[in-house]
Amino acid sequence: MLPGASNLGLWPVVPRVNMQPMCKAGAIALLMLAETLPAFAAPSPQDWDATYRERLAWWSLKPVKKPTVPAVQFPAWARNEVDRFLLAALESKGLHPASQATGPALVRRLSFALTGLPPTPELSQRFTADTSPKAFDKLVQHLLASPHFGEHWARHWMDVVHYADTHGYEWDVPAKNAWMYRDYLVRAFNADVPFRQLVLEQVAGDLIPTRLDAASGLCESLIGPMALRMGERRHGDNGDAEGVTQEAMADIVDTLGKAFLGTTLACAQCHDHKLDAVSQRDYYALTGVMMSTRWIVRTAESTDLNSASMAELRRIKSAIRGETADRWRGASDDIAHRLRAIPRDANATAAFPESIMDFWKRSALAPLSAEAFFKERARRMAENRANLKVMADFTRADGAPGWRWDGAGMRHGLVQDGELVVADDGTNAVAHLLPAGRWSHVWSQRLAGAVRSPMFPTNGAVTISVELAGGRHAARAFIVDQAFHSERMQFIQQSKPRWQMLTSGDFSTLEGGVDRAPRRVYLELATKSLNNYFPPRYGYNGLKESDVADERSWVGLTRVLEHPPGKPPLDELERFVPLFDAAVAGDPWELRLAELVRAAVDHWRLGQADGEVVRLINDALDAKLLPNDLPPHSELAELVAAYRDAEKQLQPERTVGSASDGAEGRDERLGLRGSYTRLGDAVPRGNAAFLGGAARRDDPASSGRLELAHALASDKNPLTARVFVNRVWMHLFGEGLVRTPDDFGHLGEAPTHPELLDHLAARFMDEGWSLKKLVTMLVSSAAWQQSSIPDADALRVDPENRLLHHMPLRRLEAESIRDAMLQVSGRLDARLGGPPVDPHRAANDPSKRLLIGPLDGNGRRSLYTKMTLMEPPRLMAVFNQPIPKVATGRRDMTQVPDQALAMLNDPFVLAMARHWSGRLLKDGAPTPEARARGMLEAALSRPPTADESARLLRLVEQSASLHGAVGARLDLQSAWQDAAHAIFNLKEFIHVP
Amino acid sequence: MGFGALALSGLAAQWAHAAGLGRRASFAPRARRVIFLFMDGGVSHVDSFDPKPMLGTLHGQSAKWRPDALSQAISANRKWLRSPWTFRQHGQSGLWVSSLFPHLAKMADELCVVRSMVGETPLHGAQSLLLHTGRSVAAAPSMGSWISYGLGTENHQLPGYVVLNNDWIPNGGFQNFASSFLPATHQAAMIRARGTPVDNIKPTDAAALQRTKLEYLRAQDSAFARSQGGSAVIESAIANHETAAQMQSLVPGLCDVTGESVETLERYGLDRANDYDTLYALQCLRARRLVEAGVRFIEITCPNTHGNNSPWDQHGDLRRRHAENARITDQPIAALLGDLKERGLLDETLVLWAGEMGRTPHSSGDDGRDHHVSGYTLWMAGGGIRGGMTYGATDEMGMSAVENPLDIHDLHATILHLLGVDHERLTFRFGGRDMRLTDVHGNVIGALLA
Repeated sequence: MLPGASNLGLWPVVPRVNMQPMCKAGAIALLMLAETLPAFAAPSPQDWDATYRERLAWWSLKPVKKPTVPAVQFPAWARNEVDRFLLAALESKGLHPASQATGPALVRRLSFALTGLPPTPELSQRFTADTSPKAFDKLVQHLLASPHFGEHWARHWMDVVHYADTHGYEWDVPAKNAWMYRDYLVRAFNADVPFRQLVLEQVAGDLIPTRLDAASGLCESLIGPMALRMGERRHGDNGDAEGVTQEAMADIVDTLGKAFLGTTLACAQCHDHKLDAVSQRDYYALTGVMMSTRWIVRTAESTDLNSASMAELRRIKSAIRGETADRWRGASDDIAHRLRAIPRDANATAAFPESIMDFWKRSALAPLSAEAFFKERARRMAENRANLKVMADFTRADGAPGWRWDGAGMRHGLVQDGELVVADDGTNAVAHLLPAGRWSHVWSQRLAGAVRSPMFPTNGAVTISVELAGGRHAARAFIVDQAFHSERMQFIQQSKPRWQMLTSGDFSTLEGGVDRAPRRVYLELATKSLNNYFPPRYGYNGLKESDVADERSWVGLTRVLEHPPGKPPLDELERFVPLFDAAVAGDPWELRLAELVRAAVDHWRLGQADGEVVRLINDALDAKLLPNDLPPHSELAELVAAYRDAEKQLQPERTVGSASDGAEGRDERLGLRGSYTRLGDAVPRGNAAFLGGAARRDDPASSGRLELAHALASDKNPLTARVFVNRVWMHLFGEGLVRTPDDFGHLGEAPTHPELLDHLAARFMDEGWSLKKLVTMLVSSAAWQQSSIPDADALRVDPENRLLHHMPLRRLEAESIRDAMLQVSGRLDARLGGPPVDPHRAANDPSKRLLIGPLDGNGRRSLYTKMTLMEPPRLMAVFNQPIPKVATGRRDMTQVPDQALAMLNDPFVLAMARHWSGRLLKDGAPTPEARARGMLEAALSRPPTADESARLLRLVEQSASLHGAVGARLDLQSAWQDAAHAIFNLKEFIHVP
Repeated sequence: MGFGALALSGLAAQWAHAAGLGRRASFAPRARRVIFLFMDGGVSHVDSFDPKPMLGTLHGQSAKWRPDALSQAISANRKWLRSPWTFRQHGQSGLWVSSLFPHLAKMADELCVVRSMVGETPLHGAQSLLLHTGRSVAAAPSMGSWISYGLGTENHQLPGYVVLNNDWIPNGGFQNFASSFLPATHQAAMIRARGTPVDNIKPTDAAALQRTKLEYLRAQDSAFARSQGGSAVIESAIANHETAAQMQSLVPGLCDVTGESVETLERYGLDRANDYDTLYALQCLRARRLVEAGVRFIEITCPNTHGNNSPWDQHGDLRRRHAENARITDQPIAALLGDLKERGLLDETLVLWAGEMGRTPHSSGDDGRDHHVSGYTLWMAGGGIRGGMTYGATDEMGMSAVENPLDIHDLHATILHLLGVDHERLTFRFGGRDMRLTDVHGNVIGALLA
């Protein structure tokens, strides 16, 4: 600081706090710039222990105690205990509270505070007419019961978890069905789910007993972990650029710390916290928890949505199978004939034959001898015996320990050899027969399916072969270090099961790392809806946007075999053995091959198919040796059409980004100075020390996330309830009792009323962590019902209103400004939930999927507007909706001219004025005066004075004359539109006294 | 993005004044404002300002490189790639400029070329944020916001930080231009090249009608303010409506270049055939007008002509696309330098030309280069900068900065220094720390100063 600069107000007059870098370089690994970082002497463990003990004495880390409610001089003012705490503080300064606000002002204040919407004129009138002492209570209960309550309070919490529908960075890829999490919040707050339960769910909803929502049929708790997945996420993984996942983890730890604990945990990434009781080891303990978690997509259905449709599909498919069996049996005499029609190839000797056509084509000039066949077969069998080891067998329900599957497709997808798959479009009846295994598309490509392996060892490459098939942009990827958007992802385009050789490893493609923890690597096969990275960035591997819109995809597998590199499983050719039976040795090849197919069809028909039979029949179908068309008007064609109709009735499962835990937890090594490549000791994963540290786990190999969630959601945790209660206070009173709601540490502000905060926290916990009870108590206080007009003396003593000697006048939040225009104009579509609506934009940017949405957002409330991280909705941003990159518990509330420009000229505002004026023409108002009065009342939630109505009417008249008309005629829409527009521009419209 | 700095009331105005308008700068400023020409995607240093004859010698040979702590890692199967452009020395200073930039070559004696920039991560988003905000991932304020915050505005009718955009948002998104934890008045105001230059700036109502509405608002709002005991919040909201009304004419006027002479329009290249060319020229000319009007920090972004990840990001098609980008930007930038100089404005205007990275001297093909951050080039000109010089050097292949390596924090520190601000003293308390543009880094590079 320059000498004397502080008096000049050059820079904020605050003590300097020297810190380590706010965020170290992502790829120190690449350049090893770590050497250039300023030296940092970490305190020795002994030093830290002493420091830590001192810091534990901080007010917010002390247990919540129920303080005595203070005595006051004028108890008559107090309506509840809240008031007594506040009044005692006011009285100690010789101040007194403001008078009670007027009835209409209270209705407006309460309606916006609880639902984010203005009251309807009817509600205002009903309340002002109700003189009973219970009138206000009734109003509170009415608004708490409104479904819009959940929407408004969900939006508050969305700021804290920095909700966005996309992940920003370079391509703004979607956050997997984030909107399901938004709707989950709305339902939860409407149902008044105890906040403690919501803490558990958002940290470990996948690990606790499931909470179901009967109305929606959703597993609510599984949706919770989406809370921690919000924000900027890079594509690629640590193997491409060390740090990709570490950055995501830093965001998760930061959000977790601020949201639930009001603690800046992420400050300890590079060093022990400078002032709070958080060590760098705590940061890595928490990171270990989060790195031991798989951030996968999961189905959130609590029931089988499709049991009726499935029964129908089973019935039809069984009939199709019967028809097909008869048909193929009838056609088996034709096979030799069909073969003869196919020309044989003089040069087809290059490869060893592995299909019917291979054998046929070489049969004219170079038929394979029995000796050659059996020699090759023996060689292959010997090699397979020597090389192959079964890693996972999906032909049996219990054959793949450690592997997990998800999705209804997979649930209904465990089949025996010979399962028929009906072609879901096109001119074929049968897509193919399946070998035994687990396949997502046995019934429909609309059903979801995923299979995920256990962690692979990464101390050396493991070579495996997976017999798989899949299509329509189902994908496989090795997920490295819990990457969200793996660019190792490959779309599977393989219509028939075939062995694919894959090599695991640590996948580091970059040199230069000096020190690296072993990676976490697993294999994922997933249909679109269960893939974190679908849709991936625009144009990825040739993906077209029309492919994104197609909900179908499928994948499945039979077995996974481990083997030495270059020694994949070999086809043992068992199915061709009968070709070389001595009894048929003299027969022409077409007869030998036809007999092979005929016998295969018979086996299949009688339910005795094995994998070889399945291959032969698929082979024969490919070669068109068996009929597979849909003869017009045939029974088969009708059945297949019926199947396809029924299949389209299936409801795709709802899936959402969530989390999953397995017995694969591993501690994270501490990054020296936050480096990703210069690592210290492994830190036992678990909670931060100040909340109990690494708790004992029931399963020592688990991530520790469940224990962490329980520690956060505990009555004994000094922070969780205090922090949440303070947030609620802030939303209702304008400022928190602690004015830094995300930081209850040494650098946050001290509470203005510490005993009140504790009183509220204790009571909140006693009353079951109920948001609605807390809100009821706060708005029922005399303090909350004060007028917004301050007393001059009080302002002198307490200019910042820390003692709450009046209710602050508040500008509406961005969403409420827009929603109020929707409601007042009559355009509001009050339905709840659903996929987000693209915001209105000047231009499309297809490569980022930033698309122009409808001007009026389809009339939906603002929380349903798509929050694209790369370009958040502009009208909202102008009015301080936070950019959703970091947890933001407290919004800026600026007053800037671009807000006035928006109200004057934004096309949305104009559209709402037009919509309103269109409705006004049909309002049946007897006189222009009556209409003007009604407009002001609807917009300002109070009856206007005669002067005010007259003023508006004058505007209508002036506007009419500018539009070439005379007088405020009731049918002159343009003039009323101008009046509506002017009303939206009134300061009173966007402020709440 | 808004014209936030116009706020005349409340906290915003307090900051604008408190920041001292440059009069209270730490030491005598050499420059009063900055024009930042952002070469989004990364111009190839070895094809522009850092000639490497050895690339010609070893062209096509396997690119083996020593694994050291300085150089970006290099994967297998790469070959050295010579520059498709020819280098010549220009001006009295004999500064090396390639044939990619014929117009800039004529301004060689104004340019101070730094050949030894070192970044952190060879990724666009990270490097772009690093260049703009000093951090590769976190949500930190842009240098334009810091400078607007630190020095305030010279014109209360205009924002302190303006981005002249070319219909393309660089990697890293709006975060590149955001005020983050600094007061929102310091975020960039975005002026678009095509169509309406600023959101909502075009009045929807005819003047007389808008006047009528504003009169109504004045009367009704004043009554409301009175009913609220003369609330400062309401009074400032009322003032904002007045300011907004004025901006509707002021801003379009500044953006409208039709009053400029034909010679000027042609000099910048507004007469060229292609939209990309004329729009970039338009933004350069607007930059001069904004400089004259007293805007503190002006950034011009590049257009993206071909659905690439970013304009200069030529992994392939280097010859064609680098040439195209050069064609779009070279003439207008040279014209801007010349125009500022003739008007006596260059001395007090710092011009920074920089991409977020360079490009690899080697290639996996024969017409493309990849991301490169272990030694690349930028240049500065004007206010307080020594023209006609080069600083730092990369090795003989252009792989890594081996002489006087600079990082982005050094660049930021030097820019702030030229503006008369000590980078260690320009701080803002946020999240419990005194935040700086340069974080805990940065050295002022005296050798660059005139």
